[in-house]
Amino acid sequence: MIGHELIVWNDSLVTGVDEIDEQHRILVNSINEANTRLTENVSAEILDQITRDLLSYALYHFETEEELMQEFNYTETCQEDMENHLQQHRNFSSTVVSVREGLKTGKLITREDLLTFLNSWLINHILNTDKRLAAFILEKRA
Amino acid sequence: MKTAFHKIRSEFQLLGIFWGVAVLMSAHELLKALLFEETLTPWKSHSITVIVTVTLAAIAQSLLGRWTVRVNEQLQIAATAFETQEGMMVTDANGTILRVNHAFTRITGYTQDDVVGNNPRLLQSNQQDANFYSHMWETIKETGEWKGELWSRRKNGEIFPEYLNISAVKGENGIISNYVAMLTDITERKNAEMQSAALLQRNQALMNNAFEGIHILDEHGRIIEANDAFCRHLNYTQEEVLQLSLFDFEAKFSAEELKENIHNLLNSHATFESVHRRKDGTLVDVELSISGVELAGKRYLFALCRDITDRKKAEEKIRQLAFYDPLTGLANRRLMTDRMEHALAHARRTGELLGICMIDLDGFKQVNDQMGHKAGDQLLIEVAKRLQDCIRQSDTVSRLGGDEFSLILSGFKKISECELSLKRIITTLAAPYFIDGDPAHVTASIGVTIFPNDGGSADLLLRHADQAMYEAKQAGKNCYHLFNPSHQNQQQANKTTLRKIEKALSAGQIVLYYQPQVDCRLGKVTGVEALIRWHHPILGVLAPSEFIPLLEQDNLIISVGEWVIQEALKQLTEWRAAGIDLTIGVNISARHLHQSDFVARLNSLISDYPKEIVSRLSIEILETTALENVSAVAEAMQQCRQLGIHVALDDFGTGYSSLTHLKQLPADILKIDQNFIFGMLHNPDDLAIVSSIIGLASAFKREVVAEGVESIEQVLMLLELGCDHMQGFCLARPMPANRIPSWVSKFEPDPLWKLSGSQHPTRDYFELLLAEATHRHWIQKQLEKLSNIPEEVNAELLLDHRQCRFGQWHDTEGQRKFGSKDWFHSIDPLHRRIHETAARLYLNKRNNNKVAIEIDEASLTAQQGELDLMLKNLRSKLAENYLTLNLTQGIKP
Repeated sequence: MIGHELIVWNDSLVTGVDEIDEQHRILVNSINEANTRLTENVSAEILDQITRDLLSYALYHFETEEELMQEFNYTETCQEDMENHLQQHRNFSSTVVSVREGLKTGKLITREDLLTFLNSWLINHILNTDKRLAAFILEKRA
Repeated sequence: MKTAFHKIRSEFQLLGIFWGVAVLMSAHELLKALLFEETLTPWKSHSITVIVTVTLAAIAQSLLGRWTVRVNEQLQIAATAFETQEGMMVTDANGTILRVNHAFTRITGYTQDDVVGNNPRLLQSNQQDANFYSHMWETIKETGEWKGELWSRRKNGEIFPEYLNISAVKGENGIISNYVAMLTDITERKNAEMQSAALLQRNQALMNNAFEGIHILDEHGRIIEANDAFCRHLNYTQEEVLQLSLFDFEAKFSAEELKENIHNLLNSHATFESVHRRKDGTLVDVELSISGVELAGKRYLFALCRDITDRKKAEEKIRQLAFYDPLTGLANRRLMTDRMEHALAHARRTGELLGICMIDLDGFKQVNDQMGHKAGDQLLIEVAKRLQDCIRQSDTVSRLGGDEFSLILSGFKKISECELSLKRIITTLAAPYFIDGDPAHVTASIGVTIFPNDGGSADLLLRHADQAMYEAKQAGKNCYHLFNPSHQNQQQANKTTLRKIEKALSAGQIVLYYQPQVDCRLGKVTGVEALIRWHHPILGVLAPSEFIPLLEQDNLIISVGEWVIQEALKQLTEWRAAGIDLTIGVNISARHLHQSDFVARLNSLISDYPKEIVSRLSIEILETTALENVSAVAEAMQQCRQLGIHVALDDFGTGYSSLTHLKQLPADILKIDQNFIFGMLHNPDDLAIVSSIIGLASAFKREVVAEGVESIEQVLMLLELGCDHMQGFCLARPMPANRIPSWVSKFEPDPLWKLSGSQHPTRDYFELLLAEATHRHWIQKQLEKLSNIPEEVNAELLLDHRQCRFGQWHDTEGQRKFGSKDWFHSIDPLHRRIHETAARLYLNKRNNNKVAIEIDEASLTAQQGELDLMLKNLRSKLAENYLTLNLTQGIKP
């Protein structure tokens, strides 16, 4: 597993908003599974399933977060954060779609590239953008 | 004098310096005091006694010449000291008793009057022989003193043991003047000693007859006594045992621990288990009961030791029953759970993977039923043996009951390593069994979950393995199935998403957009492709690529597909009524197509619509779907066509259909995948694919549609290649149905499209486009090539700008057609410079000159841009000329 270790769920990943954390756990599981499966073999079939799962993640998770944003009026208080956050969501989806598009013509994303993308998503998005949203929500809920 | 004495005595008492006084007094004075002062008050002081009887005589002699102190006072002190608890007797040099004290009388029964003038011989008991006495006197002569135990006789005739100390006192002339004797009655001590000796004897008898090993240890742990049982226990002789110390045979505790134990036990009692080492080195489990005891004034350890080997064995058996399966000897569920916790902790530390497996035998019931339970048991024993042979020491195999086993496989880094073990186990367990000579056959279904990919508790992991085991059974048995943790989560999440899509469908959130298809040669809108959109209340408008892949694994895709067909048919009817003549292509998924009632359902969906509507519907099937099952899809396609519905192969080119396949598949339309259209102006491979699909379509008499057309160059290239029907952003984006009528009515073909055709001037345009495209690709390749430069390439070859395709075009067709134009001559120098840069870049890459590489790459890109611009201008000049020509001459393409 050169370059990418399995991610062990830990406190640094916790945002404090339960529904968000629960879904992040699923993502971490998916990333770990992608890591393990791609160590064995990189095939269109495996990548198809992985990217399918990522699309699913994007759908339910982004909905959860964006619904919370609406519920707590994130845009009025932190417009820039919100826009940045939404942009990251859209970019994630379009990256996954383009990976799938590549699969169609036989251009398989490498394990390295996919894991780099996913790990940086985990670090930049969860540890950063999501935690900002979570802090906002927790404050509102308190 | 009395007063003075009392005064001094009290002073001395206060000062507590009796030693000092003694030192200052002479022996003679003391003796005088002892012999003549009878009126002294008896004053019992042990210290004084010692001074007087042991030390004083010797010290006094050295001080004879120095006595100038007040004699009377000193005498009183000495006389007081004389009255101690020990019997005192003073004789002259001849041994005639001069004086005795009260204690003497108490011990011997003789008063002072009885003995004064007599010889101490009256105390003799005849228990000692003459030698004893002669030896005594010799000692006194030599050393001035004798001390020791002897038997004496009291006045009443009773013989008693005494401790006697005789000191000789010498005068100023060095001649013995007196003897002082101190005697202690040691009857009690002697009795005690005799009693304990008797006790010891009795104990010895008891000890030696005792079944338990008894030994007595001193404070250093040395054996001072041991019984026969103990000697037998350690396999030593009595003599050997008495040479041993605890440290020699104790095998459980360290020397430090032993020392501490001895120290603690000297004054207490404890019972505990330990291990002893026998003479031959073998170990034996013992239970020790140790008490501190006192013998003759010293503390000892009295130890009882019992061999508990049998008890240990019994305990082990109980443990076996508690933790092991009695039939197979494998770990039971309880032990397995415990081992699993350890394995999990270990895996967490090391980051290694752990395989938790549940094994269920296939066909075990039949063996039980047909061959009997005894045979079944034997089979289970054999299965257990085979399982144990398959695993490593660190792994755990356990029987959970019935024909259910579990395995914990540890210490691997890749799932494939675990799978290798599983395959071996499957094969091993499937080999034939022979029970009393009769063959039996069982196989194993194994469910596996991998930690930490599956990160639940031990209990949850086992449940997951169990779940996977059932899936292995379902998959046909005699196999293993890997539990997929994110699958479960994902499946849960996907189910939720699917339900949302279902709701969205009924709530009208799923809508169809339509993307026009245009025949660019005729300049006419011919049809649209229906594309699904999800107007998501939170996430906005979602493209099909974002959610359709999820539907593809669920039957919901069938409902969605049928809904799309119905919508399309309604839309066709609506447009038809409005006089808009378009076809609609709808996408049908593999899952939907492969439904056995697909055609029947389709038939019922179209049954309400007239032929002219149905004939405008086409269903689009992915080429890759068709290739998964060519004959079935071919059959479905044929039936669709019989219903009057057209069929298109979508994303064509991605499946690499062979000619044979294409011949089999009765598609009306081939839709070229957008990726090839996107790449064809940069990548000769893509261009070749596009070109050959168009050729193929023409040869098989199929219609061809290019998807994802984004630029006018692509349009013109496609027209030139012979593909007239196109779809893409360059023409129109997908739009809601209600915008189609106005878009169609406002549609105007791009005049440039007319460049295409067999006419002479448009050929020029196309040639130029092709030359331009190839050169762009060539430069791209130069920039991409880093280390992988083929050997045959060299700088000279790169430098020769006439060798490249563009150069050839320039020198031949270009020169011929545009040689007369001024602007044409500015191309050559730029082209030459590009090749110079490319050659330089090549050399710098060879030499790995990083800075120079960067500079060259930048200038190559800039020069490329310059050439692109130049050629684009050139093309527009060509187009202008052509359009002007057309307009003035009124030529129609």
